[in-house]
Amino acid sequence: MLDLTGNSHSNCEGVTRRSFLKIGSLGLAGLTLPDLLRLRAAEAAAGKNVADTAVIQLWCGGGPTQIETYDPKPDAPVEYRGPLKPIRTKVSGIDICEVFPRQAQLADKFAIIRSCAHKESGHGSATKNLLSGYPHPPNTNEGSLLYPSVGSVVAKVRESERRNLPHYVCVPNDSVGRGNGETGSAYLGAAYNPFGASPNDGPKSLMVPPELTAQRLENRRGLLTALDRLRRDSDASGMLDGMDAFTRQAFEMVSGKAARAALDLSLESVKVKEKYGHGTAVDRGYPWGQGCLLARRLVEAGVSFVTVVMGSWDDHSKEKEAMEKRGPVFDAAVAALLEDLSERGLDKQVAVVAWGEFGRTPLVNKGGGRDHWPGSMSVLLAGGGMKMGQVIGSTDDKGARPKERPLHPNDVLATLYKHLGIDHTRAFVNPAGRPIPLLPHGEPIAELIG
Amino acid sequence: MPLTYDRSSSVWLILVAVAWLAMTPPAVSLEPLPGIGTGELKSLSTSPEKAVLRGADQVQQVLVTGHYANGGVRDLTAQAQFASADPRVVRVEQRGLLAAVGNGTTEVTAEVQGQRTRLRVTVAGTDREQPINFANEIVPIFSKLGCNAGACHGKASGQNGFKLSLLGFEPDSDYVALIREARGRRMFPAAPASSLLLLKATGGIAHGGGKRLDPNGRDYQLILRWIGSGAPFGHASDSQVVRISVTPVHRLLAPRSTQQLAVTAHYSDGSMRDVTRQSEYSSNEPELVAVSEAGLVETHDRPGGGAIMVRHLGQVTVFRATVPQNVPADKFRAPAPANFIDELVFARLKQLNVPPSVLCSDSEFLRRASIDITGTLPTVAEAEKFLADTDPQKRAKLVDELLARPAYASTFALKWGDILRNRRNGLVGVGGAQVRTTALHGWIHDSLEKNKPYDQFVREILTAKGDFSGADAQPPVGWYNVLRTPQALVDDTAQAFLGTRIQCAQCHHHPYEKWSQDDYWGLAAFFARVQLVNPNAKAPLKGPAKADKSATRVVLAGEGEVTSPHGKNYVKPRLLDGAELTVPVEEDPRQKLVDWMVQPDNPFFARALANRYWAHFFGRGIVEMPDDMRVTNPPSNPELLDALAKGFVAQKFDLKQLIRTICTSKTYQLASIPNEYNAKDQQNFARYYPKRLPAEVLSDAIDQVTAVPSSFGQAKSGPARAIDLPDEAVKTPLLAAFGKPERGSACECERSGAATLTQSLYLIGSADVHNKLKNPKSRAGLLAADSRPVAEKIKELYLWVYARPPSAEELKIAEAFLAKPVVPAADVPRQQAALAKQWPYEDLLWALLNTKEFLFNH
Repeated sequence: MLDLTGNSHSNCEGVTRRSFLKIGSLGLAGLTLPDLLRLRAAEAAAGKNVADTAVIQLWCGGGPTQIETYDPKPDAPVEYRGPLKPIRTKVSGIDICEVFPRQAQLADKFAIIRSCAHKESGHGSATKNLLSGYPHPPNTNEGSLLYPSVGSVVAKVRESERRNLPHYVCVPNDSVGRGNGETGSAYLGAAYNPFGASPNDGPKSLMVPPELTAQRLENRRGLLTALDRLRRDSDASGMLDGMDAFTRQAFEMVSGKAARAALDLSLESVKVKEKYGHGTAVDRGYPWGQGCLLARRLVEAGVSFVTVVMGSWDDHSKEKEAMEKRGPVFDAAVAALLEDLSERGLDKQVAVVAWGEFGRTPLVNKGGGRDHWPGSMSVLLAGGGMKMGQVIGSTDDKGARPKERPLHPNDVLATLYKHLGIDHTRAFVNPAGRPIPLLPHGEPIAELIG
Repeated sequence: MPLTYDRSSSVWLILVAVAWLAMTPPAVSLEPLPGIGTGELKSLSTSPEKAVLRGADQVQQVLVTGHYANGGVRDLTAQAQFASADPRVVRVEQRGLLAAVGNGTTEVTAEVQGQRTRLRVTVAGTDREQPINFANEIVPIFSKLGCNAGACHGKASGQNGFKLSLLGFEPDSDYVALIREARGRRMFPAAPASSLLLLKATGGIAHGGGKRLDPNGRDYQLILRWIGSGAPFGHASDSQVVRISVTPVHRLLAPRSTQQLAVTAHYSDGSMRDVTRQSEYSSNEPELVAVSEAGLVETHDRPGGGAIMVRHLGQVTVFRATVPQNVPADKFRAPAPANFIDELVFARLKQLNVPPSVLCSDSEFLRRASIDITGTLPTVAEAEKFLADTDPQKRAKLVDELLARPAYASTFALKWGDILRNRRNGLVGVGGAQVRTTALHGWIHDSLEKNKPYDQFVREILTAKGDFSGADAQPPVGWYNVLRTPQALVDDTAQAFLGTRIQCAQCHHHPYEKWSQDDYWGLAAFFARVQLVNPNAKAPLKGPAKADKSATRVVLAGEGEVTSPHGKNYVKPRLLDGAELTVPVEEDPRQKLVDWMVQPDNPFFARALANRYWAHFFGRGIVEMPDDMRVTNPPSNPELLDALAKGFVAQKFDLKQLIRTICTSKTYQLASIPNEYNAKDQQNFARYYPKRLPAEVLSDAIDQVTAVPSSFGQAKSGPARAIDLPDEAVKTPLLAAFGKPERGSACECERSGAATLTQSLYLIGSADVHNKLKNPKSRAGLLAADSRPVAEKIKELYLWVYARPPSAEELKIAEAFLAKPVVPAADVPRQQAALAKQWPYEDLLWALLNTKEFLFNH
C-alpha cells in the first residue's frame, strides 16, 4: 500500500495538518470525504480551483544551449558567444537569441530563468533527476528511474478525480526516448505511467482496431453487462468497483466523443494548425508544433500533465546549423502555444515549462558545438497565473555559472507543484516503507508566484 | 491440545485441535480479555487508584472504567464529570487530566450516570523550582508538534537553516542548534518570550510551518520557563527514559466507542511520570480505529483489530484494540475445522462476532487453487474430471497434484524472482546480465521443484561464492551481482528473509522500531568481507568494485569493515538480537548469520516466510504489509502466525507442506461472497478476498482461453509462458499494464494488483486482444467451425474461462446472442466479411474475458 501520508506532522506548510490522505493501493478507495474537504479547503485558500490546473512540459531532450536560446552573451569573446546574435523582445531589457523571433514578440507572456544549475552531466542521470526531482547514480545513460516522475505523481494525487482522459499523457509516445522509464512512475506502480498520444495518430492513439466499430463495441458492452456477475460486495477493498469504473471510463474513451475529439487535430482549423507549424525535420518523425497543439487540446479536455518531447538538442558539433534548423520549428510551436493559451483564457489554469536536462558548455568546441554543461541552464516558464515578462537570475559574463539568484531544477518543479495545488513536502511511502517527500528539496520561486 | 478462547461474555469454550497431517500446532489460546460492558452501569473505577504529582509541571491522566451488569467494562473517561475537592491542590483539565496547583492532599471525584468514584491526589514540590531537562522535557514537545519530523526541520538538510535531529533522536545536536546557531537569536534568556523559537512556533513572526504552539498552553509555558532559567541542557547524571508503557495494553472495544490511553515514562532512576500528552500516536488501521493527539482512541464500525503506536523520546509501545461487531452470538456458524488454521481463524472470528462465509464450490476451489499454486487456469478436461469426482478427499488430492506440477515451481520462482530482484537492468550495467538472470531463475525453479528446505535455500543464497556461470557455477551469486553493496545486502536480507524493514537505521534510529544504527551496521559487517571482482582481471581490483561492470565474481576477502554515514567503522558482525560475533578469518561470517536465522526460536525467519506465503494465498498477510513485521504493526491474529511459523519449523522448513496445510484448511476454502455479517471484514479472513490475476498469470490465462499463444522476445527458444520469464526485461503491453514489477526492490508490494484505466483500455480495445480473438485458429474460430450444438459450445467456453458450466440464464443470454445474424457492414472488406460468422463467438469470448469473474481469483 502506498499512502500519501499527511499525518499530523509531515506537512510543513501547516495547511492540512492532521489530514491523513489515504490514496488506496487499489487506486480506488481514494480520499475519504473529510480528507477531500480539507484538501479542497486548502486549495481554496490557495486562491484557485486547483482541480482544473494543468502543466504542459516541453521537454528539450539532449540539453539545449542556454546561449543560443534565452541567455545570449553578445559581449563575451567570440569563442564563447558563438555566431548567433541576440534580438530584442517586446519587453525592454530582455534579449533572446535571434532564432526565436516569434517568441520575442511574446516576451510579456513568459518568464525566463537564467540561473538554474545542477551538477549532473550524463544525459540519462540528468534526465531522471530533472523529471523526478531526485538524484540518480551519476554520469550514466543507463539505469532505470528510481523515483516517480512529476507527471506520475500528479496522476497519483489526482487519481480519484475521474476524467474522460488519463491524467498524464506523453507526446508523441509514452517515453522521452531513452528507454529507461524516465517519464514513468517507478514505485508508484504502472497505473501512473503516462498514456502515449501522437498527433500523427489522432484518435488512433486509443489503440482500438478499426474493425471494432462503435456498433460492435456497443453490442459487446451490452453482452458484458448481462454476463458480468461477480458480486461486487465480495470485495470490501473497492477494487471490483474500481475496475467497473475504469471499464466505464475506457468505454467512454474508445466509443465516446470527448476523448476521440481531444485527440483529433482535424477538428482544428487549418489556420491554427499552420500557426503551430508542421516542421518535422527535427526529431522522431513528428511535428513539434502539432504536438503542442495536441497538448493544448488535451489540457482543455481535462488532462493534468502533458509532456511534449521535443528533442534532441545535443549539439556537440555544428550547433549554429542545428539551431537555425530547429529554432523556427520550436519557436513557432512555443509561440503558438502561448498565444493560444492566452487567447483562450487558459493562461491561469495551464502552466508551461520548456527545458532540457542541462545547458551547454560556454566555450564553443572545435567542431562548432557545445558539450554537456549542468553548471547553467535556461528555463522558460509561462502561464499558470505566474508573473510573466521577467527574467529571473543571471549568469556570469560567459554564461557559465549563476551570478544572481542561483536556482536548482527542483525549484522549478516545486513551482509547478505549487501551481497544481500539490504540497511538495508531502510524502509517498516507498516499497521499503520509507516516506519519500515529493521533492527532497526545492521551493517555489517567489518571483513567479509571489 | 486444548484451545481456549474468550467469547466476549467470559464464557469459555474448549475446542480440541485436530492434529493434522502430522503438523501438530502448539497449544495456543486467544488472549483473554474482559468483555464489553452492556446493560446497567454498576460501578466505576479509576486508573491509577491514587495519584501523586511532584512539581508544578506534572500532570496525570486518569482513566475511568465503567463496570456493567454483564460483567463487562467500558472506558468512560471521555463521558465522566470530574470534580476536585480542593482546586488549590489539583485542577482537572479536559478528559481526566490532573494538573498540580499547590501542595496538599485532596480527592477528585468522577461521576457517570449517577455512579461515582473517588481518587486521592497528593501534590508536592510545587513550591520549588524543578530543574528542566532538555532531552526529557523539551525535545518531546518538538516531536509532538512535528518540528523534528522528516518533512520539516528533521530532514537531513533542515528547514530554512534550522535543523533538528529526526524525531529527536539526538538531543545533543538539537541543543547545539538551538543555543549556538543563528547567532544565538533562537533563544533569548533575558526576555524568553522574544526568543525566535517561541515567536516562530506561535506564529508571532512568519513561520513556514504556521502556528504550532499555543501561547496559553502548557508546552509554551514550559519552554518559556526553560529559556528563562538559562536553557539548561541538564546533567549527565539526570535520569533518562528507559521505556514507556501504555494503559490499557489491549481491550475489546465496542464499535463507535472511545478509549482514553494513559502513557507512563519509566526513567533510569526508577521514577515514573505521566507523558500521555507528550507522546505521539498513530494507528496502523485508520479505517478501523483512529486516535487523537491526546491519546483518545475512537473505533469505527468495522470489525477487526487495530494497533495504536505510542512514541515518546525514541521509545515505542503499542495499544491493541479488538473491535467485535454487534451481531447476536447465535448467528455465528463456521465449518468444521480441518486443521489448526481453522481453529485459530474461527476462534478469532468468533471473538469478533464475524461469521465466516460458507465453503466455496468445487469450480471455485479448482480455479482458485490452480491459480494460486500453479499460476494456471484449469483446462476443460481438468474441470470436467474434478467436478465429476465424488471422492470426499478430492480437494486435498488436487492440492497434492498441483504441487507436483512444474508450474508450481514456475509460479513460486516468479515470486522469488521478484523478492530476490532477479533483474537484468541493475543499477549498474553488469556484464552477462541475461546469463545471470537465467541462471538464477533456473536455480530457484529447480530448488522449488525439488522442494529444497527453505533454510537450505536461503543459506545457499546468502553464502553464495564464485561465479554465476561456467564450471562450478553458483547461480545465487546473481543475487550479490544485483545488490553489490553491504547496505543493499542488509536491506534485502532483512526485508526478504526476516520480514522486517531496517533501511531507516542506516542513517538514523528507526522511527517505529528498536533498531539503531549499531544494529544496522552490525548486520552490514556480516557482508564486509564480501567483494566482487572481475574474474578475468590479472591483478586484484583497486577501488570500489561496485562500479566495475565486469566485477561479477563473489570472493571473501581476509578482512573488511563497513562505515556508517556518521563515520563509525564496524568490523565485528552483530546479530539483530544484539550478540556480537568474532569470526575467524578462515570462516565465512555469512554462515554465522544464517545459523542464527534458521534457529528454531529465531523470532523473524519462519514467521516472515509463513506470513509471506499466507499473503500469497489470502491476498493479505496476517501482518500486513507482509515484509513489515514490527512491534508497532502486530498481526491480525498473533496465535495463527505463531502456529504457522512453529509448524513450519517443526516440518523442517518444508515449503510444499506449508502450502498443503494452508490450502486444505477450510479457511482457504471459504467462498468469496460475503454473508450478511462479514462484508466489512478485511483482515481476519472471514471469506476469500478476491484478487486480480497477476500480470503473467493473466497473460497465460488469455493465451489458454483464446488458444492463441503469445510470444515473449525474439528468441524462439524463449519461454512459451509468461510465468516462466526469468527476469523483468521482457515486457509485453499486457505485462506492463497489469503491473509486472521492475524488481527494483525486495518488496512484493512492487507488484501492483491495482486496477487502472490502461488495463481496461487494453482489455476492451487493444489490437493484442483483438488479434487473438479474430485469429481463425482461436477459440472463437474453433467454436464457430464446430458443428456441436451451441449450448455445448457455450458450456465448453464457460469451463475454459471459469471452470464451471453456465447457469441456465447465462446459457440463454449467450445462445440468444450467438443466434443473432451477423451482417457485416457494406464497407467491411470481403476477406474480413468471410470471417464474420466467427464474430459472435469473438464477441462472446471478449465479454467473458472482460468479466471480473475471469479477471479475478475469487
